[in-house]
Amino acid sequence: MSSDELGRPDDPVDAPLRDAYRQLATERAPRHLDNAVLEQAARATQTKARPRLWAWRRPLAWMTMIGLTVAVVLEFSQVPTDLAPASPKNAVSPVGADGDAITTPAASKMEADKARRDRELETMSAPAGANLDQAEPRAPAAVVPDAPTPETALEEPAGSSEKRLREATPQRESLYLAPAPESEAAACDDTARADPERWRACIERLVAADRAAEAVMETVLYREAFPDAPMPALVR
Amino acid sequence: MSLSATSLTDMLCADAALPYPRAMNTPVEDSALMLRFKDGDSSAFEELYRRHNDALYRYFLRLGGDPAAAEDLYQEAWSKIIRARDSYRPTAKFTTFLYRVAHNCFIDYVRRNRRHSQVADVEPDTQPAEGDLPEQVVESRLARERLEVALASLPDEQRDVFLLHEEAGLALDEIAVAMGSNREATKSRLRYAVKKLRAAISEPEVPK
Repeated sequence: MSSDELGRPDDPVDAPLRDAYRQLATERAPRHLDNAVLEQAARATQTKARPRLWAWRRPLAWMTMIGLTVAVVLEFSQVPTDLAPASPKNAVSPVGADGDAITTPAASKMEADKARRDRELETMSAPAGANLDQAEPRAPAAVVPDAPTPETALEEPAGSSEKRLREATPQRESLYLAPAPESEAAACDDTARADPERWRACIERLVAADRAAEAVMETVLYREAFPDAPMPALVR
Repeated sequence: MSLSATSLTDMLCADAALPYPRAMNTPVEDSALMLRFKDGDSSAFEELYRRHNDALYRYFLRLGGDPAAAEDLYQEAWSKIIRARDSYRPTAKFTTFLYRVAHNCFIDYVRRNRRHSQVADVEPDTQPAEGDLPEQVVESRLARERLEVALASLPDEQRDVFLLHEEAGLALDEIAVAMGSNREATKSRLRYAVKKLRAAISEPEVPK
């Protein structure tokens, strides 16, 4: 504190002046003002104070609004994701031209079974030692009664052979995909189906009788029932 | 609660104690009372009010020179103190806080009444008119009357500084804070005020 600070012996307000002022300044605050001020203070303290959390009402409101907005945005952004497959097991199979998706594992299994049956039938209809590409033109011969043999196919014009193939292919596919009629499925009875040897002989009889559709269906059933048993000879 | 508030105030205002005795209670206790009032203790405010009510009233009475205006300013200042209790922080002496509010109330009053601002710009006559007083009047009464006149004749800033020093007991730095001024200007104003008042209470020279 410097030397000119008040309250020191060198205080500019000396004792005579201070005494004179003290003798002069003797007024007191009016009583009615005292009452008014104290009453105002009492009212102020009686007024219920806002809780401290009240000060957070505005930040809380903003935080709530932002949180709700984010939640809504995330909810809408996840809608397509929820429809997508959650795992490879539920992978969508784009089967059909209309876009209908079969998402069940059973459908996938059905498709796999169908592809396997196709390969087996092609293998069965192909001659021994020939691959699938070579057997492709010959496959209709197993199911089409009047299909030309490789020798006759060579003698015929190319256009005639292709025409036959085009005519035979839808028929073959229909045989593969369409369920067999009950009368044809019953070509081999249950007794024959119980024994692979007898069932195979039955299928060969159907082939010999030119009942190709029945033979194919029985072969499929035979293959499913006895996957390890020898395949019947489907070619005469 | 009061104990913790007192301790907090002690820490914050420990350096603010003045080296000379004061007419008022220590500002530490004032701040503690204000904190208690902030927490809803009306009795603390009453005690605080009793400490400062008369000095604040005299401050307004001497500063404005109008008893009616002094009452209005007095009530307005205390109302502001009551309303400001929630935002009160014991970072300074309560007396400084109280008289800063009071000073601002008076400044607003001056701005509403241009007469005061015009008076403040004019350097008043330093010699009170005491020639008409009879010689048989008691010297002390003469001195008080001359002081009254001299005090009323001071510029507002000088009178304000003198009253803040004598009524509120504020030091130069605290007066500067209360008035929103700097220390040197405050010191100069106080010196001028004291010089004029001392001359007023001195026995007038008889012209030869």
